[in-house]
Amino acid sequence: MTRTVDGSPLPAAGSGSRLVIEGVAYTYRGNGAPVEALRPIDLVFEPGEFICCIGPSGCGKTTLLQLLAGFLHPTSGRIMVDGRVVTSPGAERGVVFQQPALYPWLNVADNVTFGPRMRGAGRREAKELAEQYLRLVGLHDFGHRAPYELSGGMQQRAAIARVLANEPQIMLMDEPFGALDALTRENLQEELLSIWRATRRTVFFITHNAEEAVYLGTRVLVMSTRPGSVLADRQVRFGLQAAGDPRAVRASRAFIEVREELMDLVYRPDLETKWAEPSPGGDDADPALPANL
Amino acid sequence: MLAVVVIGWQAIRTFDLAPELFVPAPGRVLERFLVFLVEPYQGYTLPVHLAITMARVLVAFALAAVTGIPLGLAAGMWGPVHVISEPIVNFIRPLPPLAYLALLLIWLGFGEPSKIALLYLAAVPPLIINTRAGVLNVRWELLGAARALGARDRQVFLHVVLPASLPFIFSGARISLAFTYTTVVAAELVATSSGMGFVTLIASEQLRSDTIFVGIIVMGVTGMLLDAIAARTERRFVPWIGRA
Ligand SMILES: Nc1ncnc2c1ncn2[C@@H]1O[C@H](COP(=O)(O)OP(=O)(O)O)[C@@H](O)[C@H]1O
Ligand SMILES: [Mg+2]
Repeated sequence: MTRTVDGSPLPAAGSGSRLVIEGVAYTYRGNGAPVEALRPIDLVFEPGEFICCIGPSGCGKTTLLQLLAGFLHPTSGRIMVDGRVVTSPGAERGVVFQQPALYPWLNVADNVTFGPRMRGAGRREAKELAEQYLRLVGLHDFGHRAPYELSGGMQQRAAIARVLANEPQIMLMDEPFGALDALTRENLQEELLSIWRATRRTVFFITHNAEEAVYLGTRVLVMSTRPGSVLADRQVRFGLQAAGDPRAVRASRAFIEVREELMDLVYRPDLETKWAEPSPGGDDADPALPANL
Repeated sequence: MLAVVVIGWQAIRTFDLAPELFVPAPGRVLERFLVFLVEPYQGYTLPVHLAITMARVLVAFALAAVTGIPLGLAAGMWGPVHVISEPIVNFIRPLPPLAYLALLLIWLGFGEPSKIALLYLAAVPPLIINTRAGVLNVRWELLGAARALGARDRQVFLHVVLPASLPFIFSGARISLAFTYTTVVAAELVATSSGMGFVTLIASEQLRSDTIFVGIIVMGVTGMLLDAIAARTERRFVPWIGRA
């Protein structure tokens, strides 16, 4: 049976979409010389996975996310969601940007219900959705405020609520907590985890912070320097814990080990060979250690 | 500030630093103002002359807004519209309005249409240019977010591009209004028989410096009020300027 680090069973099976990346490469062709941002990448995101992507700055993480979102079209290869090829942005793939892209002419509640309203929700339904999702992210008293009256952390919460209210199958997040102070970031990490545990929608989460990746993800992708390719693809377990003490988890030997190994890979990719070997253990590995697949 | 100006002004009179014809006493100007409020000069009282001038400004500005803003939006959304409209706008914009007034008089006659057309041509370029700039300056993420939330092209335009362009549209409107107001006086110097510009011109021909002073002060204060109203309207409709 699959178990978490503390031995508790996994939460309910994942929902959300299965996303297939088939030989996707991308080269920017602007006015200057072409920039090869991504080498051909093959990946499958299973429903309910929380995939964290780390890699050096400029390695193509944002490019990959924009391809998944449908903002960019692969130079070669294709992306499929539940068997259908992605050709444009779509409501089943929600996007959270590094800077919360809220609409200043709408109040927070109207921002949160933007997607449903565009897709035909009535006023009654929108009001209920606003209440539900503002409560979920702890902003129930701020629905009538303008976005610019909120702190950066609260704005990012509202941006997450806006995507959640649209009920996407997969959430694409590009360094969403990168611009926040450490305390706010840790709070939002916990909130995101508890939301994800409750919904088990697929999440693709970019960060340049290995600790964040290891803590949140069920799976960590490490990308090489540009042109980006996937150096390592690693299952982890820490974020799955239903009620661990976050500080204790982050301070545990197992957590630090995984984090350091991934950091080594980001900063010293020559150690890559270590990762090419199959890791010992499996699904039933000693629960005191992070599970390796 | 105002007190300093008035005291300095009165001092010029008291010590007779300039001829009465050049600088009439503040008291005389005030008296002339009060009389002009109720007694017609050149056919109308001061409020009527002012109302005629303001009507010309506002009609031309309104016409410019209802055509220039959509044209600016179109130029921002579709390259071909921009390619066609840009040279025309760039040609008209630096032309001094009086340069084409003669032509407008021949085409449209000496009535109101030629004046409105002149003011319209002054008013419309800043509206087109700024509105287009507003469309081009919409943050990419605002558009991407809407599309990823399921908005269709028409919805993206109505619910994102349009409101996001408002700060630029408003600044274009303020520039346009100010320029139209500046131009109206010039327009009224030629081939008119009413309005503040006309009154001031006739007063100078008749060497009535008190009336010239009244005209200048009323036009200056009206211009300031007009911009203050525009600024308030802007704050009311785009309160996020500089904050988001
Ligand atoms: N519009 C663009 N035109 C040309 N090159 C670009 C463009 N956007 C990004 N790049 C380049 O592509 C590479 C990958 O960028 P990006 O995906 O943003 O990296 P990351 O998110 O990992 O920091 C970088 O070297 C960047 O300079
Ligand atoms: Mg990036």
